[in-house]
Amino acid sequence: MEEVSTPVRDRPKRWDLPFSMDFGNEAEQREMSLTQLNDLFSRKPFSEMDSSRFPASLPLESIVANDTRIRLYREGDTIVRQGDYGNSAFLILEGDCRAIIEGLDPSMLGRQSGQSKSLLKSVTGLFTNALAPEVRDSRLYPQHHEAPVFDPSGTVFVQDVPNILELSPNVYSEAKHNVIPEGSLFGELAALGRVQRSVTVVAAGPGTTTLLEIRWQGLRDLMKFDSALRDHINQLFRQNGLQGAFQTSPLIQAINLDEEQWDQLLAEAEFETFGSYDWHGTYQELRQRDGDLLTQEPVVQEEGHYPNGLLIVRAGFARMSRRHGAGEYTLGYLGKGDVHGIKELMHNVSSDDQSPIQTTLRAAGYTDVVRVPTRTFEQVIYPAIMKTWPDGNFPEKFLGERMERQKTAASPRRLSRRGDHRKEEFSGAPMMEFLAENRYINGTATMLIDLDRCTRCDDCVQACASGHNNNPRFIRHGETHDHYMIANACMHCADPVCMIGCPTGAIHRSEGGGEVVINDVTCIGCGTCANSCPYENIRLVNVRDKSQDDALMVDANKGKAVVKATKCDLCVEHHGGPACVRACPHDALTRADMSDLLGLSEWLNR
Amino acid sequence: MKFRMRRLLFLAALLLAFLILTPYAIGYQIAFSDVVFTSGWLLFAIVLFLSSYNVRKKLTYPPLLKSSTWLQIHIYLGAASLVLFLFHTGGKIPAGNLDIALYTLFSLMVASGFFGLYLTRTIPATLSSRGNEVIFERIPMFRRQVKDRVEQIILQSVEESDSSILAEYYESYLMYFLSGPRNILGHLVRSERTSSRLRHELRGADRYLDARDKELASELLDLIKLKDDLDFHYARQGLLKLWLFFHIPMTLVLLMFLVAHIVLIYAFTGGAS
Amino acid sequence: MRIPLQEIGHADSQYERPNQRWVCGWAKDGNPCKLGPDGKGRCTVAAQSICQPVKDGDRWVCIRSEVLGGACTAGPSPTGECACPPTEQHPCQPVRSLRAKRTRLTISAGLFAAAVLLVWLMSPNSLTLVSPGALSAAHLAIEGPPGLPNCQICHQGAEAGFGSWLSMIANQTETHSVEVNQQCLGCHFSETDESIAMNVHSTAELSEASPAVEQLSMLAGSTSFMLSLSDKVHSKPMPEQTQATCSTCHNEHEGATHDMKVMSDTQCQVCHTNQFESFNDGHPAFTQASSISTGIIFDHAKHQPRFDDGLNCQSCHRADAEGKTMAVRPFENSCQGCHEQGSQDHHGDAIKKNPVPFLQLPEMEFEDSIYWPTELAVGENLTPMMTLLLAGDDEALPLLAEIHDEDGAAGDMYEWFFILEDEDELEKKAELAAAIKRLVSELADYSATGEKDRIVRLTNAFSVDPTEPELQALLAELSAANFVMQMFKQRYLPQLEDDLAGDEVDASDDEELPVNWMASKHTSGWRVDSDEGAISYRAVAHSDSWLKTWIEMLGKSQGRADEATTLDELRSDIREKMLDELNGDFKSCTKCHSGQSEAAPWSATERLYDASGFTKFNHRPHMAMLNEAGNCLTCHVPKNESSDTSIAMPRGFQPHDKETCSSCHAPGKANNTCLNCHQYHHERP
Repeated sequence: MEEVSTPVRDRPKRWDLPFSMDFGNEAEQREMSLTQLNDLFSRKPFSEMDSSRFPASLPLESIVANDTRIRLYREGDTIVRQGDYGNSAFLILEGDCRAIIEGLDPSMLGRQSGQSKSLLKSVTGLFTNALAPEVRDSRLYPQHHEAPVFDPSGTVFVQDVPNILELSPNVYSEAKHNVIPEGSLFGELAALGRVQRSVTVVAAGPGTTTLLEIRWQGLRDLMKFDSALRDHINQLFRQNGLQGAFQTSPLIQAINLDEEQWDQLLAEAEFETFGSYDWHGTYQELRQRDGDLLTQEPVVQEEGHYPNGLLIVRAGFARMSRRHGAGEYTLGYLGKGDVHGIKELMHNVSSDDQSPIQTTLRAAGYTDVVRVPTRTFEQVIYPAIMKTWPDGNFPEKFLGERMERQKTAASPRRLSRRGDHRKEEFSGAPMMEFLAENRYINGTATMLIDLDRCTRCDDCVQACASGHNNNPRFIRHGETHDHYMIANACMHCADPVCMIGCPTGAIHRSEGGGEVVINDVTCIGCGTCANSCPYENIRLVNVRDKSQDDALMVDANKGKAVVKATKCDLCVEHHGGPACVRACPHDALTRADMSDLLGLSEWLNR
Repeated sequence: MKFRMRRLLFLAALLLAFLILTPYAIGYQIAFSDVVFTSGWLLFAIVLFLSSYNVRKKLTYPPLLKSSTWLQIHIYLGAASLVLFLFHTGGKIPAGNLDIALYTLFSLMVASGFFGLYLTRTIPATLSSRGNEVIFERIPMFRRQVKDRVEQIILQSVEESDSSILAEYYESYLMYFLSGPRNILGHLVRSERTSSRLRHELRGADRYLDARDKELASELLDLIKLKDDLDFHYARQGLLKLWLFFHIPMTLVLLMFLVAHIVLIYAFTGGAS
Repeated sequence: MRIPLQEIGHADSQYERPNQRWVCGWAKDGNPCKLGPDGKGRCTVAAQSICQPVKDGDRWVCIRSEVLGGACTAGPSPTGECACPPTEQHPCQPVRSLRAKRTRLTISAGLFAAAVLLVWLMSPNSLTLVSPGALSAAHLAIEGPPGLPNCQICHQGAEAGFGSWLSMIANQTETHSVEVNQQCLGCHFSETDESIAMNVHSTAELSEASPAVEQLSMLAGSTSFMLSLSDKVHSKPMPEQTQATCSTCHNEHEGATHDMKVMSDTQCQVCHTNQFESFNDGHPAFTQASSISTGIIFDHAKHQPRFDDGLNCQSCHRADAEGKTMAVRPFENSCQGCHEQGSQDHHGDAIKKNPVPFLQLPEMEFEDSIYWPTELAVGENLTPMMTLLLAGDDEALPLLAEIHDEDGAAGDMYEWFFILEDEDELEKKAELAAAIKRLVSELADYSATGEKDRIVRLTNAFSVDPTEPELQALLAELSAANFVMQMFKQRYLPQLEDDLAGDEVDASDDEELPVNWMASKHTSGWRVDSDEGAISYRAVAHSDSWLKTWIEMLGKSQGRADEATTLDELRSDIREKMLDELNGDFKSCTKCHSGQSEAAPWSATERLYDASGFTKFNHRPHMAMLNEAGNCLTCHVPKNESSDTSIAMPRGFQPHDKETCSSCHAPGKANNTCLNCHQYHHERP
């Protein structure tokens, strides 16, 4: 392929900030040099790509130039951590990498061991709490923060990456691992599927390992226009992801498919992604200019259209709405494992008059769906269903929690079932609207406060503080709908965007309950998580030094005040669940799992 | 309804307790047993338990019952204690100094308790229906912001228009209104008089204003409303906190007197025979 | 358009920390510093706002932290010293947070209360302070030691003060309440009663064993709901109730006006198994007229005719001082009208007729010469009085015994006097004669010796101490009758003295005394019957002293049998026999005066409660309603031929009709509680 004469011309909007410039600290920001680009295009897979396939709006070169960057690691540096969420895949340009499957202590990945305190400890803690806010013991912190390391070649090594070898030289002897050879691509599933990294990968060395990091937008475009890559990734996905995806659907689990049925299903299922992975960014922009958010959400399946297949949500969320007068009102939303369009399909198979899709499905933020084409449905799933439930009508619960909720949320503000007309149904369409609009649907432990009961006594705050060394971890304030307030506390999202891009892996899901927690020791206060949290539930605080009579802690060599990211940890260290809930004297506060709409509406309509 | 169920449950339990206890009480009483000692000790035990609620609030983490459950028990047991108290005192006001003190204290405790219950059940709804949520501790800050903004507006009007109407209005009305929480008692009884008078004055002045001042005036109206709402929250949230400043300290006082009472009773009657 | 009270600017909003003890002093003015005071309430702004500038390239930059107002505009000096103004934020005097204030208030309130209490309890007049209330009027009157309230009169050791009260609790060996009871009993029960004061109804009779208590199985067949309730919940064995203390029912310290004695009917009925709702409903009917006895036996029914001609209740009954009872007026006012001496109605002189024989010489014949007026002595038996007096003579006693043994009665002594079988019999006759002669001479003897002998005789005869008033009275009576005895002696045994002296005397030498004096049938008082050789006595008037003395004497000696010696034994059973005989003679007295009781009730004034002393009645309030005479009959209905004879009708009255009472004593009308007519304490405090 011919030389790239000039670097990137008129960039599309999304390329305002090339990936290579997208770095926390300036030292690492540098445009891709032509030589680097040319070098890339001489390598597989780019060398085999047919640039003519790419539309003029998205030339291959521009994609590579803007959506990739080159990163250098020394031997033992961690590239991706098990359990992390990431937006990018890696292509090994030079050197090998080790994929450590298991046997790695969480502390090496900057996590805190999921030890919960003993009852005695948490009780005594109540009396030994610090008096001043945000007091830390500086002796626990690593004393030096590395300055950027400059390589003779002028390239910059990635910062703040814990070097596993430094942490424990004989790690490989203990841990089960295998080597990923040069030239191979890894991390693409996690990048495209917004799933946790399945393995930890470290630079194997010797010396410098060079990687090409490709962000998901680029990856997606590449696979869109390059069949080879697409097949490769699809192949990978069919192997690793797809069956798992099906398994998340209670329906598919309920109907037991035999071998070749599975094979056909896996062979014929298609999967697509709607919306953008970093929806939180765009979402925040959208919030600024106030317009109907709903209409701006990409349509997955539209009301009134022919049901082109059974949709199973694999990741992310989808809003389900129905036309109502001029606009649409939200019926509810789908999440992981929920299916859409089954009613219509079932009906169509059994009868002659074909019913169209009844409800519109939109990607709230982003949605990953697996589509079982109508034909496959008729051949595989329908018979299986009829075999399990001969009369053809299966229990609602197999449609997944949220489908089941459609009825309660069927009409705006309907009166409650039990026929007393004084009490309104609070889990009606407006509430659904509210939750979807603000993306609170993401939460698994959203702090809901019933303002009609809350006496503002702050017992919740008090309790929270008493469990966190005298520091509250939320603010009893937030968006209100009706008389319900979503307080400013971490919701422990199903899709924790805050975990994307944490350089040290300080923010992570705890082993036990999967709560999103921050390891105060490894947190460097870079604020990545705080900035990416769409709900602004992560807060940076100036910490004080216990050993310095609670004076503000300052960085040893830079002299800057040391800040740490803090957030609700759902009292994961303590017993008896979140203190705020147990401390509320008036049953005004709860931590609601938005995927359990039944529970939610029960609480709302107490 | 969950809450309705719970209420019924507790009431039923309470009723049951009375149905069981009353015959014993009356039975033993007419048979000349010293029921008064039993009821006295029972009452003391209940008071102890009721006051232990505050301790529970301090102990966040040992998984004792939920605070809300405690409160429920607190409320219903408190009500029960009143009945027991009347039985214990035989329904008549005692004559002894100490006893009168004790009697008054207990009555005050129960009264303040019910008063507090009333507040906690009625005020929140009024709050959530009046502007969005605001944190009590921050109200002074917002009050100040409003003040600053208003003053800014007044300055603007003075500079940009030659009329001094708004300035005068500010001097004669707003300055006082903004300088602190106002109409506290009014807000407790949900009286809008103060702010509505202010707004009325301003609207009255509207026809003398030029275009620019009209804009500013309309913003002033919003700000007055805002300040009024802030005061509303300040007054009512304040009341929600204030009543505890009586209820909780009194508990300790009551306990002291109770102990004294018990000591004297045993010293002078030698207890139940 | 409405402006939100608080913007949702989470990103640039700090944690709100109501849990902190201290808040920035500026907070109340609305511009708190971002830093805030430290845990000990010190403002640290000044201390911390100095930064250490860092060198960036060749120039120094201020990197003061955001919370301290961020990098200062001036920037560091060229040499790199921090030139930050001490702070944009002036240092403040931190103030306590709301919660901290509340905690402080709580603690100080508690301490204050404790202090107040201590001062109270320690203070010299702590007693008045801790007093649970004023005493009842009566008890208030009791004076304590000067200067002190009178607590310690009941509560011993009360004056010792707080410290000792505590120790009182510490060593409660016997509870203080019992102490108090002792104090109560001191005033309210006589020494003798103290033991039973705490018993059920404070009476000895009602012991735990007695049926009265046995049937106190709790509330069997109770009619009242409350009672059945009480019954259900506990079954306290009644005897325990005997441990009840005064304070169980009587509550003191309820104020001067409080009536300590009030008790509810239910409380009575807890024990009393015979349950009923109220006096009007279920109270048993009265089985007999008020059984309070005046001691005078009087059948009103018999006197019915008299009532018809003018006699009415008031003629015999007058309310006593208290007005509680209708006392019977003395004989003179009430009875004499009819029962006066010599009155001519069919039993007018009842009291005077059938004289009582005192002495009579029995008819006896002797072989050898025994001094005895054989012609004149015609008696066929020994009179009871005579026998009693003879019983005082130890030598005569065996004979008497023999006489009475033979045929139970002193009556027919025919054989004894006439049949002469053997020497032995004759001997006895002689002895009897001698005994009689001794008696006669003794009775006739004026001298002191006679007096002395009489004392001895009486003492023996009645086995009564000589000092006893009754004996003295009888003695006096006898002495007063000396002269009669003298005459008797002169008439029948003129030579008695010589005979007793032992000289030979012969009855034939006695000269005939022509006149038959003191022999009128109609005189009252003493009479010597010359034909029969007897002395008899006829009552002079009502309340005749001779008869009275004898009745009292006998009453006294009754049951006074110390069976020490056989002699005494003989005496006592002789006495018994004589008593029976005499009753006949005393009928005219005992007819009205029920003489059986130890002390014969001569006057009706003293008032005897009936066996169960639990009922009380006060005439006065009722009298008020009975304005006319005769209205007594509304309650006191004399029996008539129609009334049924099976039920007892003391003093000829029909049982009271309950309706009469309940017509007024009904709910909403007059008091109808148990305690209105019944009293709990048998021995009345």
